[in-house]
Amino acid sequence: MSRWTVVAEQESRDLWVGGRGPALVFGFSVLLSAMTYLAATNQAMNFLEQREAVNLIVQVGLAVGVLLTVVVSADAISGERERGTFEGLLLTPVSRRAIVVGKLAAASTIWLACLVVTLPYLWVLGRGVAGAVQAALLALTVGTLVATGLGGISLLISAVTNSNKTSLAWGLLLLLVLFAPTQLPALPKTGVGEVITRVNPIGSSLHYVSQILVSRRDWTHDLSYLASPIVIAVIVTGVLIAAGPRLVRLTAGPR
Amino acid sequence: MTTIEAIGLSKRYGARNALDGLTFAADQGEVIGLLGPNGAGKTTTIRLLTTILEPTGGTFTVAGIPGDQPDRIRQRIGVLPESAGYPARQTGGEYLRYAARLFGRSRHDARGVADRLLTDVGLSDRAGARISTYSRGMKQRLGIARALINDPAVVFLDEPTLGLDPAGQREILATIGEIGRGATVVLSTHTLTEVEQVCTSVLILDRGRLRAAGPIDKVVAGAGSLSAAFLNLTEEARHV
Amino acid sequence: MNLLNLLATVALADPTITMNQDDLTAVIGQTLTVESVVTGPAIAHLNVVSLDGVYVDLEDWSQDVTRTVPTEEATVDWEFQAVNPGRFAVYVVLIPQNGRLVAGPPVHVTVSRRETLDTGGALPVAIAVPALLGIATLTGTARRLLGLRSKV
Ligand SMILES: Nc1ncnc2c1ncn2[C@@H]1O[C@H](COP(=O)(O)OP(=O)(O)OP(=O)(O)O)[C@@H](O)[C@H]1O
Ligand SMILES: [Mg+2]
Repeated sequence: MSRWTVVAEQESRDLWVGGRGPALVFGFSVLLSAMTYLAATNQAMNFLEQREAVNLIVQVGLAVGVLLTVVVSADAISGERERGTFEGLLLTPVSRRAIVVGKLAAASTIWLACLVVTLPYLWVLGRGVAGAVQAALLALTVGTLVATGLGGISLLISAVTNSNKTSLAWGLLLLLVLFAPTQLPALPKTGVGEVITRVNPIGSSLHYVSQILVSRRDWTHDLSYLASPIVIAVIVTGVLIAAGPRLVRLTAGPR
Repeated sequence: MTTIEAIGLSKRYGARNALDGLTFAADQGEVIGLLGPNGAGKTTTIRLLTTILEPTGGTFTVAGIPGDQPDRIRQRIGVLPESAGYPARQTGGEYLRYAARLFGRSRHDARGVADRLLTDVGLSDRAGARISTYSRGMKQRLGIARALINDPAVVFLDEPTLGLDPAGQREILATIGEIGRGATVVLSTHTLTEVEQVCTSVLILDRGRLRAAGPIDKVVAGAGSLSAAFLNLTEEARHV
Repeated sequence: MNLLNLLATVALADPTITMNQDDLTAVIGQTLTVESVVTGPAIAHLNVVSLDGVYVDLEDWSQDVTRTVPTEEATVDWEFQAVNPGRFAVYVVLIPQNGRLVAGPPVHVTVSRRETLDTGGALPVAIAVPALLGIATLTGTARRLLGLRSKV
């Protein structure tokens, strides 16, 4: 049994048994409930199409699920440095790479939990239109891609900072910068606006999802929009595995 | 048999020499007292030998393994780090089982060794309680149990008795004496009486440089007592 | 008929247009694409008419309704969004440099109203999911606290 699974298992336990995992997911479900209720009543008044409601839940689920993944990963290394438990972990024969992989795996359990919690909402809003299954598949694939990329970036930030506050602040700032443009209604669909949407992993993912769910495009139609989340997920995983041994040290900064 | 060997071991932080050309050797079964004023380089020495820091100069072997194979060294050493933190939400038992599994033991073996060590350090009745409910002395004993989880050949203890009451100190020293029967122990401390009780030899550091090394009686020599020798060696340098 | 005559008829031939679909159904809000095969030279223009007599604002349906068609045969895609419910005909007219307009065959599009949700189902789910998670969180915490006390 490889040792990264031992790290992943214990870190997941710490998160879910007596940790903050259950409380975070509870908050997540309250938010989705509020959105679902609003969407359903809005729709009864005929303002919102059913597919738009499903799309809304996928978008909120993806954005907030990724946010929680970032929050959990931001703590992974800088938090242990702060609590003084990191030296103990570094003193074991587990490789630095296995530590990074184990921690990333543990952080991704919060994303998976968010995904599972999102399913009943998609089902209830998407009943009757084929959209519910499609939405669930999109959340699984596109969402997991974004969560891996941004969760990984957050873990990298955590590795190069000594305090949790700094690490969390940078992680949240990054999310804010990526998320803000998706909320601009007037972002032009061509030229600079399109480039901004395409390079932004969150913007391009949300665009891709809504093209399929609302505009009923084929899944291949705007597939090129997934380039950014895929490239980021691959690069971040690569950097974590390649640079892991150099980043996972007792203190961040120059040696 | 030599279990620790350092040759010209150095660590620089920018312009500051935290450790400057440390050379010494230790044999199996020795209990070595690592002494020196604040900032002398004791923790730096331990972190270098335990592969937590990379030296800027010099070479070393621990348990017969060269310093460029850190994973293998870590498999053979046990460490109580300076001001170690403990995961508040884990129980003492959980903490030790996790450590054992990180050293490659199966779930079943991990439970066995954790239970045995908890009994050895007198924590078996609190094994199921969260570490956040432990007193400082209990945490310190848990840390020592963790340092022994892999039956190490060399044990490093960085100020293990810091903040303990006299009874707690005595217990820890007794435990160290027992460890010393099988393994080499490096004990960093400011309490000289402790060193006199359990150590076979000492290393005295001051501002990164080795001031004296050898069996206690040799280091004390004409000075009368260990504390007099210690003050002579470290103050003399200060007045230069 | 000599060669010159043949060339003249080819060069002066009227533009032609065929559509690759003739019947489509859609739900309101859906984006549709129809494909046409045209030969020019001409300017092609997309048009939408309601067969039920409701008003159609072409700008709402498509932003891109005018294209230039080259001399040789080409495929032109027309993309539009079904904005109103009802029955519609979508067709393309070719306007040559001189001569008569050429209209392509109409594509019939039936747009159905939005699917409405029964709000009834949403509320139980919106209450049940957080309630279950809340109970799980609380019992987890409680069990842990009680379990630990009894062990201490
Ligand atoms: N990360 C660091 N960056 C810069 N200087 C450092 C760093 N860590 C240690 N030092 C310096 O190295 C020197 C030796 O420190 P070290 O912690 O080894 O001392 P020590 O003997 O353990 O002291 P104490 O008895 O107070 O624990 C000190 O001057 C310290 O300021
Ligand atoms: Mg120290």
